[in-house]
Amino acid sequence: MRILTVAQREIKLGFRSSWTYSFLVLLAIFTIAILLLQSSVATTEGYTDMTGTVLNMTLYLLPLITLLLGGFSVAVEKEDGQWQLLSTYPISAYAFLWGKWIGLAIVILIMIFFSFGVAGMITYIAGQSISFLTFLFFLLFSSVLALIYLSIALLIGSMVKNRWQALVVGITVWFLTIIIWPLLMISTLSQLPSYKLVQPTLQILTILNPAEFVRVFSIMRMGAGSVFGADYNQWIVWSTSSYGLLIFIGVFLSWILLSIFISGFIWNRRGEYETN
Amino acid sequence: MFLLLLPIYVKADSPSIQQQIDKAKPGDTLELQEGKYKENIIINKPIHLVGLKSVTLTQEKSSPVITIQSDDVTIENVRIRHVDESDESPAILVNSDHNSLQDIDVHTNSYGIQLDEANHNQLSSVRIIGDEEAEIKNRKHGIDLWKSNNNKINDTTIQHMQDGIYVERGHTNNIYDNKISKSRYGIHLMFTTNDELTTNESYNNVSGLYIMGAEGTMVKQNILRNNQTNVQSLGLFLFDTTSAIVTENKIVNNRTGILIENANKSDISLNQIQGNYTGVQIKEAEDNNISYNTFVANVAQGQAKDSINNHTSENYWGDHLGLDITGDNKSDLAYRLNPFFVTITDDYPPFQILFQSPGMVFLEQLISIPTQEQLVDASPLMKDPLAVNKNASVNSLSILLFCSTLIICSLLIIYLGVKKNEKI
Repeated sequence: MRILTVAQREIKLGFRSSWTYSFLVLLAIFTIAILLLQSSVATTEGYTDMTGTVLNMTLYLLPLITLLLGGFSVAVEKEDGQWQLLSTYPISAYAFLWGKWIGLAIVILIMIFFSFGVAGMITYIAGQSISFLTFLFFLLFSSVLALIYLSIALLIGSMVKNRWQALVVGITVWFLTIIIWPLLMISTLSQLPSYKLVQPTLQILTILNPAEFVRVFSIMRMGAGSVFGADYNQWIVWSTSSYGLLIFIGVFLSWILLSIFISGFIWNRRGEYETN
Repeated sequence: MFLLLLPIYVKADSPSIQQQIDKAKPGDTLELQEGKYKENIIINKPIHLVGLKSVTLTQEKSSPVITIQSDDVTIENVRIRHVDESDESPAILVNSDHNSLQDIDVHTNSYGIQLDEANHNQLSSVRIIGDEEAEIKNRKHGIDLWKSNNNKINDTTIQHMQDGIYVERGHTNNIYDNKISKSRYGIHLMFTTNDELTTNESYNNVSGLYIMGAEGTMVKQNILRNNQTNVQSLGLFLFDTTSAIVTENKIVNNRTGILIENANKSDISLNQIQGNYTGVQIKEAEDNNISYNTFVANVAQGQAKDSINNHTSENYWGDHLGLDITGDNKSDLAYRLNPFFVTITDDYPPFQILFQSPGMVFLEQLISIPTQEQLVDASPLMKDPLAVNKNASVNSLSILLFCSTLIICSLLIIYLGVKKNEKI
């Protein structure tokens, strides 16, 4: 019940914050633009240039928004001393963090749904045809991505002292996992002593990078896994099989559970440290 | 009633086809009575064999169901069932010249039709179906030509084979209007000279067309589509070829549209390369002419490495933002094929997983590559010569929309950031 109370408070705070609305507007305009772009060129379904562009655009923007919103939301609690106030009540750090996660998840999902709704309407009015499945695919892709990055944002929030640190760490995580990820992989892995190590290391690192994992899995589920070449034949086999989705959900949940678990751990340690 | 459902083989006392052939004189027309025959036949004189209504010939022993040893044999309207699973012989073996096979329906566990040093034959309206259950590497080719020249293969349908049509060391074979699907390669040429492939359709195969070590091949107006699900899939593969002419083909929705490797002096023009994961890849190729092609809606348009000595001009690149100052409908800004991704994935194939990842797109623009290592289209076309008018206008609108969106967004954030120093 305490979790729900925290979640309710978070939703209230979230929808009172002007940050939420500015991000909402940004996300909505952005979604309209990419959906119009997606449906304007007559291509078949599946992995096409436009699908690729939309996925990449989403990957550029959505994790950043989520990291900033989530990170700030937790950092602010410490900065403004609201957590000190809350901790006079019998509430554990985990209940608090889960409450925050649920509340923020709802805020962000509402933002995504609203944006997609408006965008879908406008694409429809504009007379553009977009397949429902493609639309749903983008919506799911965005939601999954946002939920994973939200848990990472809470982890960042619990590690940092204030908003500025949350901003810096958030942008760093975004930059590392999305923007310079390929550069990082190519420059470091090509230095590995044995060529044979490249493939397994890259596979593990890809699973550890939520953006890459969600992207690669989505493309494989679209039936376009062959684009990654012979080295990933096994991935194509499992990801397109019936239990592929279960494995994906498993990895997805472990990302969230692990992040919150570590956040709680750090939160408790910090708490003890600060009271001492 | 049950008797009707059982296969009715022609009665033992009525003459077998072989007996009829043995009795026939050269030039005779043999009409085969309707029914199911279980025998392997050898034709050693120029006769005309016609099946009346439905004639089915089932393999009896491990050798070709029909062996044609004489010239000038015509076979029409027969169904062939090659059933022996361990047998490597084809359903029909042709060792001679000037024969004609028409309206033949072949089900085979091995090769369909094999032409072994056989010339001037015509195969038309042939249907060859292989074993769907067998792994591709255990299947054999649908039509297999070995050192055979001047043959015509047209209007055939081939499914579930290894290579639909495989030609090795022949010259001047003419292959047109065939449909090949669910096989390894649609048509596969090895060390051939002056073969012509026109208006064929190759789809849902591992790869559409494989042309290797061939000289002077003409590839015209073929449709190569949906060859994309295998990790090796390609639409058209030109490997170690010289003087090929590839023109007016539709290469759509393949994994890689065209892969040109070690190919020289080829002319690749007026092709439509659309909706592939990678449009064109060029590796170690020289002296090719690549012009007037349309590259649109490919996830990655093109990559080229070690291939600067090609003549590339006046193609249409869907993602190119051109600038036409002189008004000749050609852009004065060049289009460059970036070698970065193809180079890195050739050295380290695992990095293929970074295909079109957001950071990779960023990185390709970031890393500067010396101009002398890039394949450049110096005068890309401003308009898609093959596009329907509507598409082009919608396209520019969305770009406009996209740009204005970016401006509005950035203004909004700046405005809110300046105005509010909010406290929750």
